[in-house]
Amino acid sequence: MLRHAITLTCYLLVAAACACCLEPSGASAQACCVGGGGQLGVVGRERRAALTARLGYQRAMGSYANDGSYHGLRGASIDDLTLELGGGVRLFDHRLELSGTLPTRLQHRSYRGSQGSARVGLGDASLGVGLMLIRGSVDGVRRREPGTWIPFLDLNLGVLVPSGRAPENSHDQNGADVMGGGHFTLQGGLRLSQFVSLRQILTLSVLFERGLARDVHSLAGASHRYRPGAAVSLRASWLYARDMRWSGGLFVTTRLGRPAHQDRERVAGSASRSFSFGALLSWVFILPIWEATLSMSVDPFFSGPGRNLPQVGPRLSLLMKRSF
Amino acid sequence: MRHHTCFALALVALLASACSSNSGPPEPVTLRLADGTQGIFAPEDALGLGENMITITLTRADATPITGLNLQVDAFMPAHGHGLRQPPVASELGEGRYMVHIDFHMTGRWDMSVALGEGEDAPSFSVPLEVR
Repeated sequence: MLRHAITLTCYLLVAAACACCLEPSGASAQACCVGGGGQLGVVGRERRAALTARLGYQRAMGSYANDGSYHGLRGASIDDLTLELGGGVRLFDHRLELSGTLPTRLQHRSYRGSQGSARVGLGDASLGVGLMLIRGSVDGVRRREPGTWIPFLDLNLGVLVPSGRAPENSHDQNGADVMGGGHFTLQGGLRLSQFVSLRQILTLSVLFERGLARDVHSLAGASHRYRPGAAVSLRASWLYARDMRWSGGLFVTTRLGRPAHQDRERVAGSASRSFSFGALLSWVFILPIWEATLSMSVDPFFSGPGRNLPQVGPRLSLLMKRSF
Repeated sequence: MRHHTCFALALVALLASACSSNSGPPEPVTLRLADGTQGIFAPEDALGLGENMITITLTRADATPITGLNLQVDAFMPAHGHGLRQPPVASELGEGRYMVHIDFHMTGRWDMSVALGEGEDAPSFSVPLEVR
């Protein structure tokens, strides 16, 4: 009952955040001046660099099976607390951005018939480079001014480094010490941002991910060449700047994963699918350099939207950003 | 205000649906090897995270029970490319029946391998299991 109460509380907080974002305001605002939309290691467009720290909490409420059916967790408790440090710098007239993140994770797992365990360790680090292909207009779309219709277009390339403990190297009975995927992942994507008005930004992002193959071993000693399936993620967001200090937004994310391969054979039924939605609220408490962002997102907990997801549930995070 | 009430009620309904996903033990899985050896794999309860017990009943092609085996049990999660954290424990109950204690740490599809003896040449079953 406790975990359902926590979920309900998270939903109510999301609703409250949405209400804050939608509240009209007479104050003037500049959407161009808001930060990275709550994203780790992303530098605001008008800033030279940023350091970020994000504290996140996720509680698993259920899972999606291969057939897309949702199942609540039974006799199990799964909690993840993550502290991620990130940074980024813009170079060459702000067109090139270099960024990186390093997560530290505290994970708790408790299953039926076993004692619960908690482990601390590094997660998978990320390195990225972004290139502004098109510098758009920040004036907001005006019908008779075609120049204001030009969106920002960014190219992002990155790599996930397996700095976290891989599943096959776990020594914990419950797998609480599994902090990473165990393989390098190459990433490439595009981000399209349109300043709809001085206060509002619509953003559409697409990200392609390809995990590299590695050898994995079972307890009995069997060895397999495993390659995770490629995946495409889509994220759409709307950001509203109420004034120079407050901004908020809504976002939806979906991820479609192709089947994995084992010993060069496609693993039947291993394709995955996820969908989540959420809201964020940002507050620049020292203009223009210090910013805090509260973000909440959830996966639906009914059959259909997800597939092959071992743990889904609400996520809550607080990000602190120092811009330069 | 009415909209907020409807929203809250919808959330409660969704939560209730999430709570109602418990189920009983799944149907036993019956598999046969090329030489006619039959294995019946029956979980004691719905397979879930943590400790699970699975009863295995082994018979020859002529339906006589197979006794005295040292079963070698392992499981692998092909979709995620990893195996178990703890080796399963198999014990003989008699009359061709064996009990396997196995710990799963992730939901989803597992392939459990049951070798009827030690060594790579021992005949083995591959049993698909859905952990929820």
